[in-house]
Amino acid sequence: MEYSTYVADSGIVFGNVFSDDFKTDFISIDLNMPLKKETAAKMALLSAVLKRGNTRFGEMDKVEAYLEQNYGAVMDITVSKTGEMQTLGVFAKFLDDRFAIEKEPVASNIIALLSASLFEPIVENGGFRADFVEQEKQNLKDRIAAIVNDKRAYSLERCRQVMFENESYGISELGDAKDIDAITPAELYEFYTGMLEKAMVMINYVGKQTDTAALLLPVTKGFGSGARTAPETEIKNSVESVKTVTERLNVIQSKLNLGFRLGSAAQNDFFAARLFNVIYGASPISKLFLNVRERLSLCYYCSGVCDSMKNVMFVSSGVEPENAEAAKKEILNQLDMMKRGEFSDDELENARRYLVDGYMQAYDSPGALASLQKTAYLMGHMLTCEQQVEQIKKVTRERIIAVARDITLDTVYLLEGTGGNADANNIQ
Amino acid sequence: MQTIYNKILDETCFEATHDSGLTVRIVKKPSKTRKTAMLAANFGSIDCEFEYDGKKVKIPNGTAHFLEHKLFEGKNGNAFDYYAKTGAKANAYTSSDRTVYYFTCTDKFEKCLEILLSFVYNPYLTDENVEKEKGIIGQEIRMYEDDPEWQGYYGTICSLYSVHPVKNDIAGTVEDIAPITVDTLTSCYDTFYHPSNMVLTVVGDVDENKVMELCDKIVPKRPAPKIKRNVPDEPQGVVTEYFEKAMVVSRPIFNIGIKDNDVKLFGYELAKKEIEAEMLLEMLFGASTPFYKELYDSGVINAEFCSEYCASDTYAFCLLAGESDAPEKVKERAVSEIESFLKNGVDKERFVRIRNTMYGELVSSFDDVSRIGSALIKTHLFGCEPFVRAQILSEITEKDIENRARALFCPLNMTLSVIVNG
Repeated sequence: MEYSTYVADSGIVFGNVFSDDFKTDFISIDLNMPLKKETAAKMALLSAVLKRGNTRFGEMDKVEAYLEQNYGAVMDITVSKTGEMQTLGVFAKFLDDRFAIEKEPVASNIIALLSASLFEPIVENGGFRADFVEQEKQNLKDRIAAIVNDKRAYSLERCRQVMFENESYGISELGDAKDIDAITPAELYEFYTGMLEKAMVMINYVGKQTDTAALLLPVTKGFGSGARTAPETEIKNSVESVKTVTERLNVIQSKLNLGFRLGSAAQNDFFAARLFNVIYGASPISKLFLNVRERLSLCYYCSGVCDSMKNVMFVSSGVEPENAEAAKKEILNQLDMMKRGEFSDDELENARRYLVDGYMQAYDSPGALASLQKTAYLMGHMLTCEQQVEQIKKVTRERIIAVARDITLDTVYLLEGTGGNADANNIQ
Repeated sequence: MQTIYNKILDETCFEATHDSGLTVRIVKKPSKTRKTAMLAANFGSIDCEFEYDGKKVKIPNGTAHFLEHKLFEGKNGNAFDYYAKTGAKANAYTSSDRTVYYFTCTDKFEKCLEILLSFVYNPYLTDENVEKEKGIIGQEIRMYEDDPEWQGYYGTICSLYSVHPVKNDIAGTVEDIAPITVDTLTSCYDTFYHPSNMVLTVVGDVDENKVMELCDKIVPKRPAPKIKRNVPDEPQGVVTEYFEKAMVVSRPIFNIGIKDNDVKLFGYELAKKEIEAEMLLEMLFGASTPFYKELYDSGVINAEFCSEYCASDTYAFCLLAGESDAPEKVKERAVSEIESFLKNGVDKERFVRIRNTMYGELVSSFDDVSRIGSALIKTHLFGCEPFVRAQILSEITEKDIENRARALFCPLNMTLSVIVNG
């Protein structure tokens, strides 16, 4: 396995992993822009409109038939956010050429489709096709509304909105439903051409072909050239006062979410923060799982996740309404223990093994390898998987305590279930 | 130990029946970093009536899942405490027809396998720890009670099945699990966790002899119980053609269920039926079909729409699921699509495309040790050799798909379940 990451003259960042080990190859093309209220909904809408088809292969059903013919290749166009950066991602997973029964060139077939999807959309009158835009506007509004279907995700999203009311991190990657109606096909097209010029572009390839310059040419040629810089994320480490918000919904289980600012120690020590996260909350060997769930039987899940780009952490748990306070108390109590250094050497070494194993498992997944390479570039450390493992091995107890001591509670968001009696909800 | 080689996939499986009765299947993947072992009991939520000690027993709904939770606990601590020394990622799940315990790791594989075999084969059940678990599982159940997709799924199955226990929720309700005791769990353990009712699958860069040595050391050798499951015969037809439930949702969530009455197939026949039905659903309702395009373009469905076929030897059904303001319209359109297929037969070009897709997905799945491990379990429970899907795909014909359509859709046992906002 061989890696390379480099910036081409065009300003495009390339991340390649060459390997003979996979039966499937992976390609992703990321267009990164600052996450802003004015453009968030446009980018989300654009991702959906681009999926409607292209002039070379036709509409969605034809594209899908082409993918089926190419051994069930998967292609998708998605929108996501990392810190305060919004990404339009085009990616494909497909069978490596050597397994094609009729020796078809699957890789170049799929790259041709990716190229057409990005650079040859279906347009009319100087804009995207109006019926596609109208319908995808409705689909996007439905998708934004649909987050309430998943109560855990919904409550976490509400917690984010409360905590980052005045920061762009609070903006959803899908944008705000209120901004969608006003977007016209022509405006959306203008936004699209602007993105091809200005977005910071990163292309990742995992597979066995080494002449990637030739292979990937079709997916690079439509971008303008020039310097492209990755959007920055503003980090805030202090908290004036804890925000507490409770909302009620007609559901049975309450969802408790705590938002924390990780502080400057974590900001400057990425690897210590990762270890802190595993000892405290991210796994079934973490303090939160072992205490809030196993010891006190208060919940089925209680876990913490960190976003290193924004330098924040969220802890979430599903509890009976009357147990929310007890769960919150224990979550904070376990954090205080971390701050006092009350974690054993066993807990530390177990967490270290858990993390190292997580890195090593990435070797078997083309998607995970590409994702590690992207994060390494965006975080600026540029370390390979092995080098990151070395860093994890060096982290000391003191560095983890320093991270813990800098963490501050910012927001407590409780979605209180008022559905009460479960009997009424059982299927007869 | 028997060696099974498949030329299409270029993969080899070692298979053995251990002295204890345990079936062991190993696929060696020297180039992979991850290794996995999965230990499965042929015991799921549908096994709720059986004979134990010569007596008929009926256990509460949710018992198989409850036992899965409890086996992690040992006399000297939780299995996770032991796994923690290895870095492995471990978990378990219970479905309608099986309970599976597994881990993936990149280091200390033999240690991990020893932990897996040890905790599953050394149950430690006390009144106290059984009671304690009711709080945790209760919250897991509450979570599912608030999950509209799960509720829609179960609404559909309850609408399709009148007596078959597949209609019972896997975790049960909070009331169902309240009476579970150490005795309930022991009766299940003694019956269904006998090694002869289980399979161990191992995938990765491993030494097959070491795997067998660990089985020798840990897997108990005791007389096999005679397992007699009482699964009632499910009548033809559906319970109700329409089910509705109000929950907090943004837009109605629908599930169209089609009950397959062509059951009691086993082995190759069962695996073949599954592939035929999967191909059929893709050919009728996949994203490249006129059905999908028409409903998507008119805004009746969105990208959430999907179809699925689920089969076991005693039940089988199809699901078409998605979000729509007009679920009845989706159902009508599905019916007309099925009727026209029965009349006109297979479109040759579409058949070839979908077969290509199935082949591509099968080959790709052999990149992932976890997917291989799961497939080895499933084929074993189906009574098949490990690479049966590759063989079937190389033999399948358009005629097979047409015959499958007639068996599956004539008569058409269909139901619609909708979760509405409220």
